[in-house]
Amino acid sequence: MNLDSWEPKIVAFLCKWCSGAAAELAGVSRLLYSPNVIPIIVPCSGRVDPDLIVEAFMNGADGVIVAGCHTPSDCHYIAGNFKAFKRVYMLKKLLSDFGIEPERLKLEWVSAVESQKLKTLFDEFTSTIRKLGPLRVKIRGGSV
Amino acid sequence: MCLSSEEPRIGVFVCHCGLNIAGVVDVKKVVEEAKRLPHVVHAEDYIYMCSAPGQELIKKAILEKKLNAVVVAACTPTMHYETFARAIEAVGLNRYRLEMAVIREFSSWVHTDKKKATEKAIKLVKAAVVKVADNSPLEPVKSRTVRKALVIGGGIAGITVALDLANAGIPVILVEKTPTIGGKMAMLSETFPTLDCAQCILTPKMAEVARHPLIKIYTNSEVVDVSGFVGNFKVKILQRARYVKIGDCRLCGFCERVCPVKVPSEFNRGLSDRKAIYIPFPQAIPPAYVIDKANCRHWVDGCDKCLRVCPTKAIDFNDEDKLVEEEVGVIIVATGYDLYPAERLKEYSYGLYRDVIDSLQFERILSAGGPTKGLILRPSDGKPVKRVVFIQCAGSRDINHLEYCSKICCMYTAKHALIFKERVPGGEAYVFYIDIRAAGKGYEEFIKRVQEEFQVNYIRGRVNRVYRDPKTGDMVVVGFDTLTGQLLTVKADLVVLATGLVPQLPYELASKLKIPFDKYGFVQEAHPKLRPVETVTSGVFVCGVAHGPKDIAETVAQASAAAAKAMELLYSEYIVKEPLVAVVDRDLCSGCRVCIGICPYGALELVEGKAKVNELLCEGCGACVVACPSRAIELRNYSTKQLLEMVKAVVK
Amino acid sequence: MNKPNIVIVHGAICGGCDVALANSEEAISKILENLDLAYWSVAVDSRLSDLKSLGKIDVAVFMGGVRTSEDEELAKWLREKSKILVAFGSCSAYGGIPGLAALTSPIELINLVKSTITTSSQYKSIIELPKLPELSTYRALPHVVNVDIVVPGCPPPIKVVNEFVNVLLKYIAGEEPIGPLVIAGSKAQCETCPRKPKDLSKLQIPSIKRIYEAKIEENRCFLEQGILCLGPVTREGCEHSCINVNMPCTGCFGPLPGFEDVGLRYIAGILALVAVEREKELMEQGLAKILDKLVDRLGVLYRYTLPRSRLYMLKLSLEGSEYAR
Repeated sequence: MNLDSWEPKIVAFLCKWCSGAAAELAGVSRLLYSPNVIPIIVPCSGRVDPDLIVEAFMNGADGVIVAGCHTPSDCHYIAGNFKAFKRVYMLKKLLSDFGIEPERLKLEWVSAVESQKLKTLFDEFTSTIRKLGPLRVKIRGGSV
Repeated sequence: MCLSSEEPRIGVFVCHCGLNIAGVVDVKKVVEEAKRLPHVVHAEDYIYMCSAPGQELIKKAILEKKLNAVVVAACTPTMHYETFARAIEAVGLNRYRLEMAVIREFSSWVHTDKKKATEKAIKLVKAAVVKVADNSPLEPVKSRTVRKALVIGGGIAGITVALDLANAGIPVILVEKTPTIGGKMAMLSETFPTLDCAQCILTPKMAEVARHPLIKIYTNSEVVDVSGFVGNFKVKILQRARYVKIGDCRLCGFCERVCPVKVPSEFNRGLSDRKAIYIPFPQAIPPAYVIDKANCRHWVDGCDKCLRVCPTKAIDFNDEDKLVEEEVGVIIVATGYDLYPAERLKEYSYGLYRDVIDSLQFERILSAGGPTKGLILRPSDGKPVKRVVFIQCAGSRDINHLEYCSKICCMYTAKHALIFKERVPGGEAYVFYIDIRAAGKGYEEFIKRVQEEFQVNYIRGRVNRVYRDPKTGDMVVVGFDTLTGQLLTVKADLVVLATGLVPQLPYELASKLKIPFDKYGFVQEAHPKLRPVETVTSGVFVCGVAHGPKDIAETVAQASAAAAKAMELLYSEYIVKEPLVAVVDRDLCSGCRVCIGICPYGALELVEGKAKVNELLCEGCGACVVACPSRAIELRNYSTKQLLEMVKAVVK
Repeated sequence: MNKPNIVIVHGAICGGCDVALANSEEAISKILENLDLAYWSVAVDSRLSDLKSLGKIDVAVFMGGVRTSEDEELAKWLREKSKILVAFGSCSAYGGIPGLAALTSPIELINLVKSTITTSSQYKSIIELPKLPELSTYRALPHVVNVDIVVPGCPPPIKVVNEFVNVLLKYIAGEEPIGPLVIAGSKAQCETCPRKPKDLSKLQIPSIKRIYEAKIEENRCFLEQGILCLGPVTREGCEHSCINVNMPCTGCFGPLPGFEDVGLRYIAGILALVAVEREKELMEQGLAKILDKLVDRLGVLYRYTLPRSRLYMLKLSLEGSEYAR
């Protein structure tokens, strides 16, 4: 893999009511941000299955963002964001256990009006991943 | 799950949106790439896909190429999903076989690098294509509603809701725990800030409820079971035996005179006694006496003195508790409050001395129909009260008792002080306070009037001791005046504690209604700003102090709001819902119960050992889908399989 | 002899599966009656060379995980030679407890062993290990070759071993194997768990307690007492042998048919349910504190199944391992 031409691939799970709306607003406001982040809109951050995050990494993603509504009370479905928090919290620890940098998975709360925050999130996370490098080239272990 | 039985035949329509998209994204390339995707049999671009000619292109392609699914790559669903959904429905395609790839807001408007914006657009189209291929053609969920309402609680909140609904033509069942409706407002002497006589404004409403043909009142009753869901609740009401036939009682009171049993009166909060056969207050609705079985001697030694003197033989010792079943479409919770038990405030010695009372007891003293006929007399010895001390925030805003502010105590204390000063010429009134909360209309002016015109002494500081001086018999209040920095000792005849409000909703009933409540027991509203009278359980509403401390004006406003919301639901013949809900495959379910606890709407329950989703309560969040250890639950048109495919489509 | 033959071989074992098989009187006697026990190093006097010289093998039972390159070669050889290959025991089926070492590289493992060896020899600085086989990437048997039957359990209970032999005899008699067939239920432990409340009320998990911290009530669901039981994500079939002696299920029967990664399912469901009634009160900080009570994540979530997990596959693919799937 030619590291010079490598571009981070980031999947962002955005909830329809908050972070997804913020992404729409960012579009309407013509806020420019990193094209490395591809959004997938879900009804709620509580819909994000840890399997989906792992699947993203398995298929080539270098980083994953999960963005939901602010705790405690913004979630349109009452408390889906708390479920997302618990799942991402544990998954980050498991990623670390399995030798993957937990910083590659980020959970953030973005309300429907925080388009600027979303832009900053996307740009800063892209640069974090750029510094961490691609997910695929680490060699560890080996036979004795 | 839910796969369309035929092979997907997908059409992809890429919009230029003038130059909004086409100026950055190479739309021709997107069309080319789309054609190469699995199951895509048609792809084209057009300058304004949402326009009439644009929609015609879509309809034409559906008919000519026999498309059974459509992807429009353009703006957001918020903007035009409905537009395109109607277009495809016009040619017979189900609206859920439509997906939009947001290549404007998510690509052309936010990136300047044309190559990257185009690559991203292609990925978004890919994801939309794999999703729509597995979308089921769904129909909205419909359910009939029972046009009837249940109101739990017969205070001013419940009465207001009941009248609003009944006057709009909706039959109402009003259930009240005590033997009469009226609630705490019936105990009040006057209401702030206008000093209206509480009974004068309340009793006409009570009478209206009594004679309204559409309102059925169950007093001495409680709701003991609730099942079903919005539009179709089945409730069980325990109607306790009254032992007096309501239609036959003439309120003559002979029974009361001869009854040998005396117990403290609940309505007068222990300041006087009542008999075992009693009427809570003369204007009670229903207008009838009631026997308090626990204290009546009939079942102990056969006493039937009351029966022998009753001119209409209205007393019926053979009366029994009844369990009544009713079907309703909505339930409104208006269970109100009681005062915080003042005996827990050890510093104030409530319960130790009869001259330390709470605010509702003072209302009874002020009340013309109360134990002292409106004369302000000491409970201990009946002497007229010349000096009274009011202690505000008694147990409120205190981590040891009630953490919250009960909102009305500053106002009712000012009212108490004003009325005292009016009735006791030369009387002295002291109010110990921490802050004064007087935010309503005319409230600040009221406080000023009480302080200046009526010369009530307001002392900013807390009381740390209340006791009786054994030599003089005076009550002594020791407190700190923070504005002068002095310890004050005030001698008084009477001490009134302005205690806070605690909600009265029983935990079991809240569980049966599946409504959440906060740590204080107040019912949790669906959204604090925008949905203040709804709960997360569809069809269950809340109003009055059951929701949170508030005064009568706010209670009435909230009650009318709840009635309006209930009407919204009851006046549609059907409840119609988006069908994007969760579905359980019972063959895979192991009955582990994880989903039931995860669902914020209580939409899942175990039926014959397996989980089942109530489609009317499910809001489609998908939390249960992720949580199910057996992967037995899926979300319609947002299945795990679809999402996995979408992830692969955007990343690979 | 015209009886079909059966060989029982070992990968990385503890010996428990051999004991389980020997203890199952009904199964072992049916095996001896119907099959020719050609190789079982604990019971039959035959060498590896005898095994390798067999012309054909009808049934090969593989116990233990694939730890060394010898194990790997043996597994592949057996698959080629055998009509029916059985993954016997959780180590073979899912990786088992030795699977917890899969995340440590072979070099680190050897160094760990070296660093803990003590010797009374005067020459303390130099410790010679005997010649060790080459350690390979640790895998469960189905990860290396296709298997026909999976017998889960650590060790497999007698009832399951008996059921396994019945299936085996049917296959021998000519029934077509549709593998891999798992000799366990396809529902979770909760389906028949004696601790499930009669009123089927919703599950509430107020906190997380480690086993020593709780006085565990005998008739109440473990999760409701804060004890992390893997019942909801584990196949039934063991007749709840652990649960019935007041110990929570640790998952030795492996994951349900819908998934392979036990840990991801558990954090998605059970751990997301923890303290759900108090989320707004506790907020992220309070919830994190409760979740931190799960100190041994791998040991609880992946005790027997780590090498079959998706995260392990991800790790292997990141390392550019030839075994990545």
